[in-house]
Amino acid sequence: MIEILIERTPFLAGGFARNLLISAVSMGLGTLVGAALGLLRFRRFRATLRAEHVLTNVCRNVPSFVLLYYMAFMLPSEIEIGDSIVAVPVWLKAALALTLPVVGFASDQTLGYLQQRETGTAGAGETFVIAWIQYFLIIIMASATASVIGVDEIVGRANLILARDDSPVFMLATYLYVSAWFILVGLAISGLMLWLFRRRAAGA
Amino acid sequence: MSRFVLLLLLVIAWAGFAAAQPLDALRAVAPENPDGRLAHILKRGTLIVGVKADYPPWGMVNPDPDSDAIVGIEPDLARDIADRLGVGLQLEVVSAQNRIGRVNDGSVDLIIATMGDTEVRRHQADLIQPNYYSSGVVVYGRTDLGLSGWEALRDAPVCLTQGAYFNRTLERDFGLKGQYFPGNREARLALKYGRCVGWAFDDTALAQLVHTEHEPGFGVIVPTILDVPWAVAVASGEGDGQWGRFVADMVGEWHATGRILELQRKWWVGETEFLRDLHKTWSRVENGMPFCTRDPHTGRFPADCLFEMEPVATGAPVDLPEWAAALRERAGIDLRVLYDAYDRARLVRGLGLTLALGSVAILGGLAVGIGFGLIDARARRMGPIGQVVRLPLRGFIVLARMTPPILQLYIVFFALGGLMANAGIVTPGSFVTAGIILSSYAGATNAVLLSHALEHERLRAPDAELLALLPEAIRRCFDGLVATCVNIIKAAGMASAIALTELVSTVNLLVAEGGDKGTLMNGLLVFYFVFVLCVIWLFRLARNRLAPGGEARR
Repeated sequence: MIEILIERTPFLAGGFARNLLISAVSMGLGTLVGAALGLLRFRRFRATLRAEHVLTNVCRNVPSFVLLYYMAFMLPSEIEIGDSIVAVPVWLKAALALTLPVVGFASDQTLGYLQQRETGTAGAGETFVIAWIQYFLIIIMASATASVIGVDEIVGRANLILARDDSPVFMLATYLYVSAWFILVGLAISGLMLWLFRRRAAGA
Repeated sequence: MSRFVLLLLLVIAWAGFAAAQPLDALRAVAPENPDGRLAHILKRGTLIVGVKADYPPWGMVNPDPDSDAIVGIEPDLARDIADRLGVGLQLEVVSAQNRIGRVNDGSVDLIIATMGDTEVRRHQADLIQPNYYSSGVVVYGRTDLGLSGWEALRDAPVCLTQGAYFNRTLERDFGLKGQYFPGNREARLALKYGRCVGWAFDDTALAQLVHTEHEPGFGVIVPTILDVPWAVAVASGEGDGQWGRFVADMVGEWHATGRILELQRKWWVGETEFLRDLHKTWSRVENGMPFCTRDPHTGRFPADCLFEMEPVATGAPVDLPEWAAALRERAGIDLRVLYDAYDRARLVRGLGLTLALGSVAILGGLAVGIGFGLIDARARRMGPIGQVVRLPLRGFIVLARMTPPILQLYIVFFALGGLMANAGIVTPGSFVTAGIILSSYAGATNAVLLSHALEHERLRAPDAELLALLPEAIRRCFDGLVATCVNIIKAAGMASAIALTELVSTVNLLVAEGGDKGTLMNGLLVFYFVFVLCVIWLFRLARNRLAPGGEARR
């Protein structure tokens, strides 16, 4: 049983890389769009004020789990550009689904950051960074749901391994092993945060 | 020498004659000027076929552990088509629930995925005639309960695989209480672990299951009903085009050559009567021509070459009131699900479960948070003993917060549930499991928030009782608690992964059954948007009630 898990570790690691890729893409994209939205809210352009507010609210309120299915159903799976056919991989759909909550988050954080900087509150930048890293962790956890729309990530791969042997003991071992990957990354990120906190405390 | 040449010519002529046997006229050939989907496939250079992975031996993960390829009868058939077109083959795993959606949205070119040919599905995608197989539905279940015959199963919990053609009929006409699972594997496990008395599925898959592993105490408890032929399907509108015709020709060729019978032998399933009959018909030759040649005028196969069977009707057309029909016509908003009694009942039930689970998760999350928060805050001041107390608590918090909730659901529901069932312990159902997991997930975050808030309050009033500080501490971290509660409501849809038919799962089912995906998916988004706003509003109301003017004091 343990040998099988050790033997399948590279396979699972490949799946986990996909989780990290999805998380990184959604954090990157979401932060860009969200920061722009937050800046617009801060500048208070009359014409678009309501739109930014509603957009942020939508991003905040709609569950990523629902968005996964939404993107899977509503986005095309291939686009034809000129003469070539480009496939839209399903992991990208998952990344886009997770991007929306990040937009809502980044919009709020950017607004908060700009307001704090305006009032001269110290450490506004660090607050942003710490909140961002914390959210990154949340998004990595959320990426584990991508298998429900058929993304070939770590949970999906674990289920594939279990398709051959689904005795409860092996299932427990496999799922716990997969959880350990998430917990390790979670602890590593928390460690990074603690280090940032300490550095801020030392600098203050 | 000249005699030898003559002999050689004779041999060549004979070989040529042999090759030009009448049945060769049934060989599927791609047209010279391909268009539509066929042209798309040739341009891509790859054929993408949706197959099942949980239906041995039709489609399954390779039993040989050195490869994770999907193998079986249907992958072999898919390979035949790709080879004939001279393109590569890419197999995509589909489920009973998503296969029609996948072929219609173009992510796969074709599905060969154990799909029954029903009236409803003929409206959802283009089902290729001739059919290529046939099966019915039976219930595989516990033999010790004395449940035999379909009538005995009325009101009994029966595990069902989402998207199977017979689900609706079994629930509506036979009164079974369906427990829905995303795949055959999960449904079978659920049966094994006592979450239902039986699992309704195709008799074909059963033959294989009984063949490969005999499980004592389990067996077929009802006779086969709802026999239905299987169909390969292409996207809506492509059935009459070049692509659909080519696929139909391939299926006809398989019947003529006995290809599927050959694959049944290869994969150790007994030859079926249905296929033998079709093989006999398709290999018939009349006046030097195959009997099953397309009519040159209509382009149709003779009726005798298609399996004659009334497709199982699994739903009645719905009459929309005038305004709803106009809405559908003008705005594309399709409210038919609301006017079908069965669908409406499912939606109401899904909505009820979502609201109930949300409430349980919020209350449970707050209770766990307050309980553990108080313990943690007290233990902080208890010196070394306190540290020992805090250790398991912090371990729980780390585990609950850093394990993805969907994995927690799988672990508790399937793995621990399986262990408990094997040990003869009653296992919690999906609602209880989801309630516990979501409560502890939210509770872990709430406990951290409250513990910190209590610590702050204690700095303000060092001599006060911890419990007396609680209201002020809750007020201090109120926004954080609200955020956790909102998050847990948003996460609750995950319970659909363990067969809870709440709203997300119900909407997916409806889309899979051919409901309008635009209306349903957008409706779901709007519902959640409003739902979350309501929860936030309720919390605001609660804060003003609990502490009038609390807002101003902050």
